[in-house]
Parts: sequence; structure tokens; C-alpha cells
Amino acid sequence: MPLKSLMEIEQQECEPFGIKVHLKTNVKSLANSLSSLYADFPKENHRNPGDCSLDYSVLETENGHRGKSPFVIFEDKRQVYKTKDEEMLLPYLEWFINGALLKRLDHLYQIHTGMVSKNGTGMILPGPSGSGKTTLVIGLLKKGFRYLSDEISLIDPETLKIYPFPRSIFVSKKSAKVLSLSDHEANILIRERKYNIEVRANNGLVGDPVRAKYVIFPTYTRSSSRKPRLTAISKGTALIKILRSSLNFPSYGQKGIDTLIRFLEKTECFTLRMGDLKETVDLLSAHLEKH
Amino acid sequence: MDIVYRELGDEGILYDSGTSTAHVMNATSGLIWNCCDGRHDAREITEEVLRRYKVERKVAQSDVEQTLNQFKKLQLIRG
Repeated sequence: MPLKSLMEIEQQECEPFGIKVHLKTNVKSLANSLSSLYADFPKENHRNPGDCSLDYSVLETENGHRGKSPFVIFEDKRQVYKTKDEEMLLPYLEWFINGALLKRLDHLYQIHTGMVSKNGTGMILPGPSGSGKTTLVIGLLKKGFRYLSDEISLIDPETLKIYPFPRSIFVSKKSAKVLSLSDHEANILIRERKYNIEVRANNGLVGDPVRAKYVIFPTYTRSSSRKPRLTAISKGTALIKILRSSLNFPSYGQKGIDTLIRFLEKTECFTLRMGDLKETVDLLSAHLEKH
Repeated sequence: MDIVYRELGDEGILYDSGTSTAHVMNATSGLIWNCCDGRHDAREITEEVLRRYKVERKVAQSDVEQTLNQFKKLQLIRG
């Protein structure tokens, strides 16, 4: 496949969770992208899954002149994505890398959940897409919470600590208005893209591995005029709800149940009916400070 | 059938690895489950419930019957 120009191919490398990721690219907009995306990921992989590394190439080719998609992403030399839209490269590259990382982190129990921390206390926010996790996570970041993830929590079955997976957060421009994300805010990088807004926590806003004390299941309702409400639920109910949001339970089975039971023993569990974002964030903050 | 029972706070969790399903139960149901060992019949399980909880015999009998039926329906025990 002929490359578009003779621009030098840049080689990048990063090591999230101790897993080497290599990138070769001749696309200028992706310069230093790996170090930017994965700078705040944990550096160590506390159970070495073997000699694994991930190789990606993102190339701009001459296909654009022939009306075809000029941008191509390769994963381990296999073409996995092509596009005419350069702006889609970074989100898709990150998507492929994150998917490959999670496959190699199967020794950690994975839950589809947002997660933040404050003063060493972790709060996970499990729920399906559309439940309000991302919006709530950004609201809490603006309130001074530390970012661990808006999507994935990784529980170490031995220590029960949760490891951050601080991927970029993409929100629609409509949501960005609700979140008042039009300007740069301290420690939060906000980058406007064609289709959405990219939000990244940086400058020390990403938290360390932490034990979770609160498990909160948010529910988004269209009526933001309703008052937010936090309702205590039993740990058994929480366990069933978490199972529904677990990503790699099939490979855990019984061990997964035992891990979740130990994990939940020292937590308090609630459902959260979200209302106005500021009021919702204030409610959670106040609860955390009170306890 | 490979079913395990674990306590979590004042509830019990039953996990059936054959069907990969988990069930939450209250303390009374947990007690009844623990009596489902092939050595206790419904009458003996009711006596166990009466020993543990201050409840009328009729209520205990009804609870045991309903819970055992539920276990059968979920194929956790054989009738």
C-alpha cells in the first residue's frame, strides 16, 4: 500500500499495566498520541500475563487520491479499520488498544462502571450505557474527585483494590452544554472535535488504585427537575446488579462470586436517581463527607 | 448440580455454576437452603425455623413450603 508522502514514520511506545504498546504512524495529528493517552495508566502489571506486546500502525496512504479511504489502522499487521476522516483515527486507535489491553488483563475482575475517588475512598458507579455514568463522573471531577474511569473498573481479586483505567471520555456536544464544558478547566483537558467533546483528566487528577467504599447505581431520568435521591440497597441486590455489568464473569464463575462478596463486604450500596447534575454531585459529596 | 451458598451481610447468595445464575435470599431462606441436605424433610426444616425464629407454626410451615417450591421451580433442588 503506497504511503501518501515520504514523511518519516514516527515510532511510539508506552507501557500501560506493563504491557508494551508500539505504534508506527505517518499521520501528523497522531504525534505523541500514545504518551498522551496512556500517561496516567498504571505502570505495573502485578501478574505478568507473559511476553505480550501490542503492535499498531496507523498510516495515511495514497488511496485518498483515488477516492478511497486514505487512513488505515493495523493491529498486529491485520487491517482493522479504514476511514476518510482523520479525526476518527485517535478514538478508534484508543478503542482497539483498550480492547486488547482488557483481553490481556483477564486476571483482574472487570466491571462496566464509572469510578472516582476522594481522599483515598473509592466510589464505583456501575450501570449500562445511558444510565448517566459518564455525566456523573465528569460532574464529580469538577467537584474535586479523582478520575479512575468512566467505563471500566478492574478489581484485583487478591487485594480487592480497584485499578484505574483512565481512558479518554467522549461526550456529545449536547451533553457538553449540560456539563458546561465549553472552556478549559483546571486539570481537565477539553478538546472540541467534529462529533463530540473529548475530556481528559490530567495533571495529577487521575487517582491511584483504591478500595471502594461506595457502590452507587445511577439512573438517569429525563426530568432533571426531580430532586436526586440516594436509596440504600442490600449488598445481595448490589451483587446481582454488578453481575449484570460484569465483563469477564464467565472466565471467573464461582471465583467471581467469591471476589464480589469480599469486595462488597466493606461497601455501602445505593441506587441513585439523578436529577440536576449539580444537585446530584452535591448530594454525593455531602454523603461522602458525612460518612 | 454444583451449587454453592455464601453469606453476605444478613443475606445469602446461591450460585449455580451449571446455569451460571445467582440468587439472593433472606436469612430465613438461607436457613432453609442449608437444611436441604437430603437428611431433613419439610417437617424437620419447619422445626429448625421455629427453633431459630419467634414465629407461629402455621407461618413457618407456609414459609418453608413456599421456599421449597421456589427452590424446585428454580431447579435448585429435586422434589
